[in-house]
Amino acid sequence: MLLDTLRSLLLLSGAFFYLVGTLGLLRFPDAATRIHALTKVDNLGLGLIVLGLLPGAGSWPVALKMILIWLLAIAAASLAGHLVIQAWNRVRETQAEQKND
Amino acid sequence: MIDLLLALALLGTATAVLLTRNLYRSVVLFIVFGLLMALVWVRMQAPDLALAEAAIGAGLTGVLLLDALGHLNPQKAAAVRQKHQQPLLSGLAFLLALGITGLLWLALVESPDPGVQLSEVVVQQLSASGVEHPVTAVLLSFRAYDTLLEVAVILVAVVVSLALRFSQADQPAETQVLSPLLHRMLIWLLPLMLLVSMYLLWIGSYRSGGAFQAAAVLAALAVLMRMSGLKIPGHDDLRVLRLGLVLGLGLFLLVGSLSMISGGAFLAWPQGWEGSAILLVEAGLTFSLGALLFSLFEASPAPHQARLSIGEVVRE
Repeated sequence: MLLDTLRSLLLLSGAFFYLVGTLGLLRFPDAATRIHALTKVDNLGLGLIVLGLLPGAGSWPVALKMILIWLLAIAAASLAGHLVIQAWNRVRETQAEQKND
Repeated sequence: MIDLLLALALLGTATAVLLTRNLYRSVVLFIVFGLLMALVWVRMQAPDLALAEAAIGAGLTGVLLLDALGHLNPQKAAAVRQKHQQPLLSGLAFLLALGITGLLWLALVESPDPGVQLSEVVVQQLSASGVEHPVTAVLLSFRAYDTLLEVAVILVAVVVSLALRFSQADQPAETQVLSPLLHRMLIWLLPLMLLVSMYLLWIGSYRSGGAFQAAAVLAALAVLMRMSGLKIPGHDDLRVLRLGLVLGLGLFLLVGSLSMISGGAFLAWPQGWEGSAILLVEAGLTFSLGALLFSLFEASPAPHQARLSIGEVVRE
């Protein structure tokens, strides 16, 4: 009973973080802040959902796979965010140069 | 409830892909569509299709489309869009789509009663195939002929696109993402991707997985290496390319005709060695399909207007 309540809380808060992250993605003004919303909040949301799902995983391999998926998602999200920001910076630099010309 | 939401979201994204004026947005929506489609397959308890859809439909096709977008000339792209707005053409397209929808609807409403319950036959014959997973058994044992022709079609398509590529004078662009973080991460990620690919190939005999899914992961690995400027072993060697492209089909034909020596049928795996034969052919197919999918990515010409894709990202 207590475990179920805890799990529901974890799952709900995970979903809430997803909602907030998506809201940030839609509402924030530029690439940097959107990446911020996506990578930070989505990772936390996914982490909470994985944590909520872990007790019901059934077997160790499944649980380990879920944790692995979470870790990979964190790594991929932060890497993708880093690369997008790099590209964005390059574009901003070239645009600033074009303005100066 | 979830199914209804998924179906609505699927329809919504499909409409958005078609109606969006901005090509970049359209491609991104297409990737979203592929991921939603994968979720729908999961809901319909077809994880094999879901894996293939996510890896090939959303992943690799998305990369190919984004890549193609980078090569497009903005003026030309605008002209193409202008063309599509011609009322006569769009009217015809609409009528055609309506007709096809009607036909599909008819097929749904008046579905003929199947004389044989195919899924039951598959379950009955499963032990004879040498593998425990029904999808793999159908793909590589019961209907191996279809898979063979499928691979041949992909091979022909890639050969044609490579021929077009080699007929052009410009060299492929040295796309290289300079990022120390990316390189450090790839050291961890690449072996893991290789492992996942081999795992998918191996579990194909008793669970969802198999050559096509494993090949998609392998191709994604090669695309990642290519884009980050890492050397791919044997990448510059044309002999390796040719051998890699035909290895899967060749092995398929070779192992498939083995039992003909003792008077068996074509594509009947050797008696008692069905499982091993299928695994061998699947291993060959994984490598070749990976090479084929990667070659499709490689065959795109050097970018004329790489600015378009980046420029559109900013405007978004």
